[in-house]
Amino acid sequence: MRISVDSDRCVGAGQCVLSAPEVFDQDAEGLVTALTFAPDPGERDAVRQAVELCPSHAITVHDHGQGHSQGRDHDHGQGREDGRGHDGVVVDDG
Amino acid sequence: MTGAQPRVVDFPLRRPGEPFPPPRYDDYRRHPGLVLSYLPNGNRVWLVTRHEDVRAVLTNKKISSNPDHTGFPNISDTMGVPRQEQIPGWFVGLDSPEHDRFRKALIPEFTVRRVREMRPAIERIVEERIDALLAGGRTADLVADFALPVPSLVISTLLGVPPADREFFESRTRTLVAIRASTDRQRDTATKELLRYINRLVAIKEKWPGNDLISRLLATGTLSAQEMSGVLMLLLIAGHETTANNIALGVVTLLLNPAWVGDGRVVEETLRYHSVADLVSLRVAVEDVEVSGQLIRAGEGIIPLVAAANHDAEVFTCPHAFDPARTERHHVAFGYGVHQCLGQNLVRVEMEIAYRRLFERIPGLELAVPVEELPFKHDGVLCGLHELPVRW
Ligand code: HEM
Repeated sequence: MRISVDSDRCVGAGQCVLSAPEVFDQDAEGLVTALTFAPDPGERDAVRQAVELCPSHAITVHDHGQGHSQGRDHDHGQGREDGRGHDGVVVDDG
Repeated sequence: MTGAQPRVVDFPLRRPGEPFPPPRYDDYRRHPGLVLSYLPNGNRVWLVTRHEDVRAVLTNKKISSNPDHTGFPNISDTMGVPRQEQIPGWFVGLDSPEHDRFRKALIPEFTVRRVREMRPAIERIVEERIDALLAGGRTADLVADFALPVPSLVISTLLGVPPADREFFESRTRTLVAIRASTDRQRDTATKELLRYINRLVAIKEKWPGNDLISRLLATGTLSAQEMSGVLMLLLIAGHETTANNIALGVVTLLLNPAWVGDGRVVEETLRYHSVADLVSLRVAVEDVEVSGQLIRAGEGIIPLVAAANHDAEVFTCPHAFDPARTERHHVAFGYGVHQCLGQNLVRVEMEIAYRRLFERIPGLELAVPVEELPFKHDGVLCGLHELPVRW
């Protein structure tokens, strides 16, 4: 998984930092910055959540085989619950 | 495509259903397209209830937040709240790019890191309020004695209000919010006093900068004096009753669901479940635009009902169940798009501390009246309680 971030779109909500603190940070201006552009596979769900929660679609995931997805567009419609469905991870809704 | 005949409902909205579980709009949501209503002045306003549609509205460039546009749904007129004057610096009522200058100036003050640094100060505020509750006997009104003062004191700390003035600050902000307990005149006076106080505070920080939001904002040199006081009033108003209502409703929900007491996940779930800012995101179409198959004409109002979106069964499993373990996190309790709440991370920390310490320090906390008798703000702009009588 590769990611890119767009600090011009960022509105500083901080949701990515809460979702995936190993991958995203806020710079001195409070805007998104990536700590890595190739997050570990273990960060996949956390990155997906960051993408889903970002209110200004400032994070893009460039996924192998799945092409290019920006903001929430990649999981528009069905099964959008944080995109976990794609990976066959069981979502426990409690 | 204009879809089916829209369903028309009365305005002002009296929220359907009892507050526990919270107001819901299942009935509106099931109707294809959007629900239409008319404001008392005859203007049309479209109610948006599905999660997907709410997010679409809040990110659509043809839809504006600016109350100066004709047709903007000034619902506060109809709900006994005086219309917010469009004052300079009131950037929640501006669209990009004008909005962004203010937001960018403030973002550094609300980063996850900055909010973490505020934690000890917030803890101190919460401890002191609980000390005061315990010193006051075995009963209290948790709205007046806890839920309202805590966020007000947090904002005064954020702004750098000197400790000696916090009492003044807190009492005036409380007057603003306590719709039942104060008259229009009292609220008007309190607003003027606060504005005067804020202007004086800015003048002081100009001369003697400190380590606080106002001083840092002044140092950026990007805001005029007038804009500065508008921004500060916005922070004050946006962050007070919202947080207070969420704390009060959250405490009741925890009293009704005691198994969740002490679980940090309740914070996010009370935000979704109660969605207090139900009628906060108001919009107007500035061009003809289609939402959910419904054509909205330029000049027609739009209200994305976040409480409805957050109880959309298409997105949240068993949406009317209070379930802090749920994995769907993308509620819109803080809105969506460029106006999404700037104070959200502050609120999260504040609520986490408030819920945890309240139940740790007062384990015998219980309602002093049956839950059905709690005075709910049925037709306020925000969902909340007028009072929360408790005992221990
Ligand atoms: C539980 C508590 C809170 C809730 C539910 C809440 C909800 C919201 C919502 C829904 C919006 C979007 C309005 C729109 O789309 O027009 C918003 C915006 C805003 N909130 Fe909050 N809020 C809360 C607490 C706070 C606090 C504590 C602060 C600051 C100290 C704050 C500051 C703001 C500001 C400045 C905006 C405008 C942002 C912009 O226009 O870019 N809020 N809030």
